[in-house]
Amino acid sequence: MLIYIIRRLMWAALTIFGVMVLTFLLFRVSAGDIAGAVLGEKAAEAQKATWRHKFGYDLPWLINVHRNLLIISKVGGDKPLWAKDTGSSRARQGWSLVLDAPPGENYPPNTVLMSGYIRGLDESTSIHALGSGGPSATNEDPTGSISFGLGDGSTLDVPVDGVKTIGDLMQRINGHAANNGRLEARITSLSVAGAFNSQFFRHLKTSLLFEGESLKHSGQSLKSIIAKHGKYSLAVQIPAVAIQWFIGMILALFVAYYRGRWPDKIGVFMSVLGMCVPFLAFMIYGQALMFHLGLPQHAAGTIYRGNLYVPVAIMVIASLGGHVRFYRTIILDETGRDYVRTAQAKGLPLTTILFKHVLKNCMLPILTSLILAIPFLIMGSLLVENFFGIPGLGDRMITSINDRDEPIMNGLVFLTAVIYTAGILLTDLCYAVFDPRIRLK
Amino acid sequence: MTMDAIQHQTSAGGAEPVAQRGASLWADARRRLARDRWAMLCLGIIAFYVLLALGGAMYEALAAPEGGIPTFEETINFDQSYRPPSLDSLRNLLGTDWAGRSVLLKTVLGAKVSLTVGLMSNLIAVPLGLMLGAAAGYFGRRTDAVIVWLYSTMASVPGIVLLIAMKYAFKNVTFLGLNLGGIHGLYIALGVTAWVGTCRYVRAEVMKVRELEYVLAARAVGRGNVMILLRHVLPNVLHLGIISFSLGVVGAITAEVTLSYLGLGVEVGMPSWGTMIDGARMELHAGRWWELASAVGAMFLLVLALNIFGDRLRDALDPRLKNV
Amino acid sequence: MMGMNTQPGDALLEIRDLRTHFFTDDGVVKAVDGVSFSVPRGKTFALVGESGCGKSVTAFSILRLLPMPPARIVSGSIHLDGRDLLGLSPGQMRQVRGGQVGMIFQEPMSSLNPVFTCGSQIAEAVMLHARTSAREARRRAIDLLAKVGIPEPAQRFGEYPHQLSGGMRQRVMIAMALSCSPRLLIADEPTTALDVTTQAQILDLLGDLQERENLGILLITHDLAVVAQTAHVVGVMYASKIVELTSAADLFSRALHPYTQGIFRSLPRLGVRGRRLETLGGSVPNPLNFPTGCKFHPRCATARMVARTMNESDTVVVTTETGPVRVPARCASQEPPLRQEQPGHSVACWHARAADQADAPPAEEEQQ
Repeated sequence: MLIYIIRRLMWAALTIFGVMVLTFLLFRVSAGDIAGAVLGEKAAEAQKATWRHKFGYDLPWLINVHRNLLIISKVGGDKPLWAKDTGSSRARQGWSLVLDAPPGENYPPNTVLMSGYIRGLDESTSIHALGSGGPSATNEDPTGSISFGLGDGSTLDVPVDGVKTIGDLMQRINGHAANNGRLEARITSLSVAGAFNSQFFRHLKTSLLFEGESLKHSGQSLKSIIAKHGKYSLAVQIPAVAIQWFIGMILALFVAYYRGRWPDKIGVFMSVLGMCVPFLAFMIYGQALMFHLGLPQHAAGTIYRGNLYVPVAIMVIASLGGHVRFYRTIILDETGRDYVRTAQAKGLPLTTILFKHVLKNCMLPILTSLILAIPFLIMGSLLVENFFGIPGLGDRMITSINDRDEPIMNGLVFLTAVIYTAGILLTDLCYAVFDPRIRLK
Repeated sequence: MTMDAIQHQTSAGGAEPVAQRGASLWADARRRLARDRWAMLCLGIIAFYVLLALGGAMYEALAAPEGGIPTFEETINFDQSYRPPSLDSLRNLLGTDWAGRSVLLKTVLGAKVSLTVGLMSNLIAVPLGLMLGAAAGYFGRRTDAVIVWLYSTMASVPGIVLLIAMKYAFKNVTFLGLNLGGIHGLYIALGVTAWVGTCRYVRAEVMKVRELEYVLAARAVGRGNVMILLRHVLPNVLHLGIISFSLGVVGAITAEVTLSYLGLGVEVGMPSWGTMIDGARMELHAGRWWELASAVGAMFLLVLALNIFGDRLRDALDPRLKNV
Repeated sequence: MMGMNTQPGDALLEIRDLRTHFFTDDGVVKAVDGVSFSVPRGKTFALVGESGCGKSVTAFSILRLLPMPPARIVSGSIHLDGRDLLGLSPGQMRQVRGGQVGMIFQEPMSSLNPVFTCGSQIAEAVMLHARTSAREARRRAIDLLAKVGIPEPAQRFGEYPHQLSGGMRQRVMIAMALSCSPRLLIADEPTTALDVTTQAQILDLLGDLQERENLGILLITHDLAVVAQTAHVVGVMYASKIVELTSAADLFSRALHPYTQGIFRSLPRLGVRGRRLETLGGSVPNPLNFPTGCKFHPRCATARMVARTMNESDTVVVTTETGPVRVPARCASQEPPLRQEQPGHSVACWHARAADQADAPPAEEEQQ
């Protein structure tokens, strides 16, 4: 039994890992240039670079075997280090330089300008490796000079005419006559710990720790969003699922009791009809009904507590057909078993057979299906929340997809996956505990 | 309805008809289906929709800007907007929409979209599911572990979220000359997410088939694995593929309508039941019910026919699954 | 002492002209079509036949365990100790089930509810019919488990079906069926799913119980070895009808119906070597499409032989699975009734004769 549990836990871990790979591929890799989407395509490259660096989108994808060029201000003072094109120089514009130091490089804040992560960066690397966009994209050699503003307010003008490689630039800076040790240019070295500073690993960490932060609504963390919106989703979903299950079971038992006769046939017929009406229609006509009944204020939003009744009722009615049919199939499956015939041969009445013998065998598959419906509790039904203006997590997911708010999108999807996997583990546990065939192996 | 009620495993009543000479699973199933009136009726309805879809496709092919037959955009005529259904012309049979276009035409074109999505997505998903399920069930161990991991992962993310995310990723992408932002992306996304159900089904069945005696015999003789898969295993699970297909079409159509309703389905300008529903839902308050009713009604009838036919098909092909 | 001359006191169970038909989408399946026999008190009656001949349906009809929408007992009577079972209301029928008639089935694993302990399933039957308390029922259940030869019955009471072996499960079933001291036990292929040694044990157990409790047993089986070991009276069923009805001893020494004879001929015999086993050619007919006249005539060796000795005008050619064959006209057109050929021995055949009289036809024709 213990081995069984351990194996299931390992399987769950692998699945969660798989989900993270999937979300990585889906949301990060295929997302293209998120900076452009959030800041606008016309924003300056420097601004985009800073933004990307802030959220870690400039990191290498899988493993960080990349290096950076660092330009370090060695003087004291509280002014941040800056770099600007002087005169007609247009080199700086195209370079991705951000005011930050890579992890592991400890310098006082605001004293380091770092380049992007460049694979195989060394002194012979072309100067154009520093950036894309801007004049650099045209592969023209830089002209003019760049002035650096240091912490104490002084500046250093570095001519960049004819600079072809990174080494050239470093030489111009380090070897500048007026430098006097105020500014240093160097290339970072590789480290083992640094290898994990990649998008993939950060994605893993952010997902597992639910650390995401909204891109669009700054300051909103994933956790706060879940806390704030989750309760709305639960308020709709928990009653909906509970009532669905309850009514579904009763109807299914009723219909199975009269199997073959007209209550059964009508029940099955209605179930099939209910299953075929599109869910959208239920919502739209349901809401229209509210208007018709003269209760428009209850048709949407959450101002009135009673507004929950409508979406819950609609969800119950819409899914009833499917539930009744499903439970009925399970029940009839069980009634087809041999032990039912034995029970009949013993002389037991039909009610006892159904409610004692059959039901106990049905409970596990039904319980399983209930547990597996849990993830949808949290996510809410996307459509219902969207339609009825309920600010739940499902609705939030739709807005985050529309906003391309990748961390939130990722976080919510991951949350669903975790809950679903936990649900499966829970059902396995239920079987192990409640089914004597497994418990007493 | 035959032997519903309490079924017994023993030969209750000797009602196991001795197989007639040469009755294969398919011939048997075909015969049983042909005799089933409801199934034939539903098949007729489906065929009717297919004809409508073909008609729609033909219309789109023949219609040209400034040509003899007006294209869909050209039918815009604001003088005719919001006409309720009337019998005075074919164009207005189901009324018109906000731009004066015929709701009947929109419904027919929507049928074409839905059936295209239903067909294409399953043409991707079902063979994929069959192959992966067969491979997983037959080869076992590592292959099985990988494939199970793959579909467990995909199953952990709610389908609709996956689809929305994929459609978003596809927004401005072109693949093999197809614009993935619209209908093509839709059925590709559906195809690569829907194979999971078929795969599970097939895998379970293949695991049983693998132990059948003639498979063991073939292996003992030294037949290669691929040959065994093709000639012995796959034919035994083909019927599951057919069943999956018929159920999958329903799922695909529902997904298409939902996504189009959310604005994430077909490209702008292409009529679909989903966009009709989206557009018409506000008009309901103004008393303009016909566009919504057309789309919902058309979808309902098709889904109903597909569901019932799929059920009967499943009963005919695999009576063991039958439970009325 | 069997057949049609039943003394009213001897018969525990009396079935007359039972017809149970299934009304399916594909047509009417006459699974049992005019079956009559009696189970004597304290003795075993074996109903033998191939799968699909209707023997199980007969048994289920007694307790009305068939799904009644497609199935219907069209006509006939069933009397238990003189009491008409078919006229009972559902509530009364439930009391008979388990209370006066017990039944055990073929697959003990699937026939027991897997989520309840063995003991509780027996106790349930006790509480239902004897209306005792739970504690009393438990005590009785443990007694019963001991009675059917299960070691450590108190421990077994709390165990689940899957924890027991096949033979033990069948014993539990027997205990459950006998929990309320019924007078009749119906056993539907009780040993088919068991291995040979267990089979022998179970049959011994049944024999013991029969002696001790004066239990009448209706045994459904397709296995002649089981019949030989346990039955006093035998009815051979073919295609929904009883074709031969006699004491076990008579059946094994002097079978009269060509079907029975064919079965015996196909059994391997000790001491006879070097001869190919004979087979009964053809296969059981489709119940939706029974042959006219005697249902066995397409496969009947006797019919072919007799036809050779008759005028051609009295015979017809019928198509069988193996080709066209000439049989007596009456065999192909009129169904023979079950009638007494000898004291206590009834046969349904127009040309019933003992095997030594009906010479086996030349070897070539029998080889298929």
